[in-house]
Amino acid sequence: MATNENLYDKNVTELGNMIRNKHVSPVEVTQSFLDRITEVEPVVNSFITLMSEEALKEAKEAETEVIQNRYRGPLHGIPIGIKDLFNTKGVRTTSGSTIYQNFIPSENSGVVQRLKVHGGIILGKLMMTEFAFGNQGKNFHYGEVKNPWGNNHITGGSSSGSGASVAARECPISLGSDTGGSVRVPASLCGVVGMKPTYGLITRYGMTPLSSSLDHVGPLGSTVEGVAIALQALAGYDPKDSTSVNFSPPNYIESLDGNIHGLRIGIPKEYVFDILDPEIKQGFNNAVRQLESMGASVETVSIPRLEQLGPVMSTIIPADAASVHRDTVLNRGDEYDPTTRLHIESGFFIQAADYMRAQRLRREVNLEIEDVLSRVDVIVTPTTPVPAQPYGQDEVTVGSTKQQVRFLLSRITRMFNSGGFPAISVPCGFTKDKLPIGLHIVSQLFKDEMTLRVAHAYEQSTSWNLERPSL
Amino acid sequence: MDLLDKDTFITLAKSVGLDVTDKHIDYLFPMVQAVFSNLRHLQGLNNSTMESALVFDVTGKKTQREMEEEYAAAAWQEEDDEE
Repeated sequence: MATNENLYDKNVTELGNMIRNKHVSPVEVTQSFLDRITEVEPVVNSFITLMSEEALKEAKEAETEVIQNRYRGPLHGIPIGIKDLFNTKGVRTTSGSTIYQNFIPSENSGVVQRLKVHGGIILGKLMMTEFAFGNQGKNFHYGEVKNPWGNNHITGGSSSGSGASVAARECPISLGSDTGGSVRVPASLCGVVGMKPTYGLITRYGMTPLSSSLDHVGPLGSTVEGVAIALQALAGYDPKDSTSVNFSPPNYIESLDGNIHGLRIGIPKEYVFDILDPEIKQGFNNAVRQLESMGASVETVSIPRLEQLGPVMSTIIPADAASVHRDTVLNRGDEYDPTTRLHIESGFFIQAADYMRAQRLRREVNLEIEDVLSRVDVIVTPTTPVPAQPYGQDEVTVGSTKQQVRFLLSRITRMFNSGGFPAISVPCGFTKDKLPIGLHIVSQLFKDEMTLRVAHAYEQSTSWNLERPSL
Repeated sequence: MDLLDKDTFITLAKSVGLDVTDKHIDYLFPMVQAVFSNLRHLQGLNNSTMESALVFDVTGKKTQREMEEEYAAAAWQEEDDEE
């Protein structure tokens, strides 16, 4: 089962077919990605902990199963990178902190367990911002993750390693978490596909929380089909997660029929386009025209109070994080990234009455979004208002005003965490500096197949996902 | 008018258990001022009659109890169908 091809350059579908047909073995596939990691990791810095030995052992077992015709499905033998806030039995799980640098979980998180059941090979634990705070990609303790498309550019975060590793072809699929855009922002900035499914669809058991009512698990991949394959394995009820929803997932892979004729696409008229880099706007407009040319109808929709979700999120996240970290930050504050510490401690000052007022407003705006999504099949926006910025550049000029990069990156994505809506970012072009642009597609709750269907149809009609960064 | 003066901030910081002699407190002060500024957006709203969004309230329309009842009913229905 040998081949001289660069297996690391294949997508999940191609690798899965090759493994199923016994053209390559899971060991060869895993070794190809490990070799790729050795080659590019000194530049990219995607991993906190590499699990080479364990991965090759699992790959050998997967190989034996294939030989014995015990094929588990399209994830069988596929290497996967895991954000380092999902517990892995016997392998340290740092959550991007030094406080937990020696934490060895005694059992796997729900998602790791599911991936293993479906034959996935865990390659290692991926870089992230400390405790998932921050959306640019730098980790105070473990360094900067470099965007494979940039020249010292940010990856976006908090799932920085999850975005960079897929873009650098260190793994064909990765897993991240998304509280305000932490899967979709790095996916957009790194030129890969990233999805935040409906809240409650994927178990969060054994995952370090940031803000429980907003935290979602989501897969990233080089193609929409790869993300759909991962979602199929990950989705499903888990009684160990009290927020898990007892819902029977449809066949996400079958929903990728390439046909969006007759679908209704809504573009919000408020908020989204108030602050937008001209090149992002151009890329987005081109993508919308492409969707129209494929038979979808495009209309403007109104979500009058969308902007009000900004203060809502800025109240809920620090208050939730403060409740999680209170004892640790009071006793070991010096061991935190100083910026993370300040964000957490600022949550101590939010009163319960204000928190509840934010939760009420949150529901009001969520209902507005739901109403729109009852009239159109999807809402589309750009994923981020600006492309990846260089590390160290905290401000960016958009139009005539300077804006804080950290406020801009998740400005659009976080609005859809509030109501748990499924949302995906798919590459839709590049700036003149060859930095990726993302198209953001949102659908009704538990209609994840609709986001995948539109993203896949768009992807198949373009060649953006065939572009490779030069590393 | 300042949303939060330094003396009040120090009093509040002590009350939540922070060490106000630590030098990082000086950096925390402007962040907490920003939090208070943000809260002002919320405090101007009259939404007291609206039900809160809660962790389990995925759709904004159902409580967890209602969802659990639905699941239980569906499970019973499945069992009945099988019989």
